[in-house]
Amino acid sequence: MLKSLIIVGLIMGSIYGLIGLGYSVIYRASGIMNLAQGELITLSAFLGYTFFGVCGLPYGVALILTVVIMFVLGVMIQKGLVSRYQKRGVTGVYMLLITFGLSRVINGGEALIFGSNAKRFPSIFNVSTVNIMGAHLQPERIMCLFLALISMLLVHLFMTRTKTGIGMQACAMHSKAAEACGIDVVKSNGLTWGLASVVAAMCGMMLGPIYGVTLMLGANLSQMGFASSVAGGMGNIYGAMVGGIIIGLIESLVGGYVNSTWKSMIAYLILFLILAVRPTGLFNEQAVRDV
Amino acid sequence: MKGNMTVKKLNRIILLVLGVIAVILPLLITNSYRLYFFSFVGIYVVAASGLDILFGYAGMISFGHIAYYAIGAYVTTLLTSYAGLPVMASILIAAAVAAAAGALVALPCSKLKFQFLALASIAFANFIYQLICNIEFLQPYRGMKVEPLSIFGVNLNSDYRYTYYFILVWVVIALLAKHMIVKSKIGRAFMACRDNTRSADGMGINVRKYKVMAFAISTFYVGFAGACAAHLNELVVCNTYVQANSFNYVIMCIFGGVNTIFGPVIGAVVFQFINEALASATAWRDIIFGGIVMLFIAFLPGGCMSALRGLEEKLAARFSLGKKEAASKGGKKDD
Repeated sequence: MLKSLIIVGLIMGSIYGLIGLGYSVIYRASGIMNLAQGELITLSAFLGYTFFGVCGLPYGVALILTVVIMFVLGVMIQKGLVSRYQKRGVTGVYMLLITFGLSRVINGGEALIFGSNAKRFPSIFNVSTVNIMGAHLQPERIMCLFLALISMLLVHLFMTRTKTGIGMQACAMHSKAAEACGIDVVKSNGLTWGLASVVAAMCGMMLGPIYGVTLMLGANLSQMGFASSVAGGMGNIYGAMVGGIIIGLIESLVGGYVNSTWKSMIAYLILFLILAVRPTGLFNEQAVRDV
Repeated sequence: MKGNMTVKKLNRIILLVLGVIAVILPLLITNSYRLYFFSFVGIYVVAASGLDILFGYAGMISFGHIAYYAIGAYVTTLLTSYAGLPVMASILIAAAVAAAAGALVALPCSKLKFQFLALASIAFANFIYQLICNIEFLQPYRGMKVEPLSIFGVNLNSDYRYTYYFILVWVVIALLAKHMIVKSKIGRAFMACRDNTRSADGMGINVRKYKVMAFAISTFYVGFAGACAAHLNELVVCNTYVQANSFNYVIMCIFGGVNTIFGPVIGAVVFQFINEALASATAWRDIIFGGIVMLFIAFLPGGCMSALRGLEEKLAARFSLGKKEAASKGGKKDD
């Protein structure tokens, strides 16, 4: 019982961590909390469903296509929307509201294009369940764990080992100084949103097969992702993973031992308490502003 | 100076006209569903004004005001059904409970940066929603019957005209109270905290205290609105209180214009009309509301009120110009 709960918790945690990673990447680079991240996840799930379920492309091809489209979309959002608002001097809470407005528009657009009925993402593997140490799991969930870990590793390597990634980190620390060092800040900001959208695309492609593709997919799960990135310390990429795993484990243990309908309530309560008691999360010192 | 005077006069005229329209509305409309709808608009006006105190004046954001709306609704339901309190008293008590909850939330959360405050409020609203859904006693999905709105034992819901006037009176009281709060020392302290917490602190304003106070006042309004809505609907169902609904109040404030008395009123009225008109086309509703938020922040950050004010000033300038000509013709100079 405990073992299987821990495995389930780890899997969910890794997904939450990956969702949270999307938030953290953008927050770190531009100080913006992107409320539209959840809708980007939904959108990629719909795209993945269209490519894989409707067009019948192989899963890998569908994944790559979705990732590419979402990358372009992310860059477009930054160039066409966010940077324009920034030029107008929109900051702070209004920027948050812009991303909220964007999320509503994307959600409405999805409903218009794909319809509001739930879609069943066809299963990727032929086997229905896999038994790992007493836990019966969908193979998609195990794939999730691996894809999430690989994505995190890739983001980590990209941010620390490549010149572009290091440039992005520099922009996040101090954009003017980065510009003075010869880093193309405009390009780097665009890339950040592109990267976050790619992360969202990965999430969407993984969550679609598990939960089915609905309009509420991203909205529901992204709040857990949000919670994990806050728990780990917003803006800290590794914090998001740790926070995600903590939240996933708590959720799964509460669901297993206490009551499964309570699990999201407890998760929200914990998020609220973290913000109330230790808003900096585990690895971040930026959340507190005032006296 | 003179232009200002005329603007004030114009304001008064507009206010008078709107007031008269609001008062005679039930005589024009006999359809009881429409009156019920307009009563609901009034309730949303109160709630949006409440959020505006927090968002426009005190500079804090909350994406979770639906939680206090829910608290108001359920507290008054329990008080009237089980404790047998009169409806009006229990509505006020429910609002006070909501305010207390708001203050409790604000105590740790008012120190957060806006994004984190927004997140904390989302978390709190989701928590309250899940809590309601998980308490069997409240019959969350089937809904719980609530006593109809009544004063001194007279059932107002029997004729929605009475309900409408009841809500209208409370809307006026709420707006007057908001006006008084905003113009008082407390309101100035809120604005000082909004503009710069550090300098407010330096001027001897207890920032924490006023932030908590802003939260409490704001949630009192929302709790009151929630309690009234419960008695108006005569039913409380948990689906009304999903966290996403708290964004409605934010949209109303942005649309009408924050930091004004009548902005949230315009916002609430227009929002409810769009909402009603597009009730069956939810996708378009989402797009329109999202678009409103994005466009208004870009082009009209002061909301409809700032546009109206600009229009008024133009009108006033024309009026006063006409007057000046008349005055110069008469050869007399007035101040």
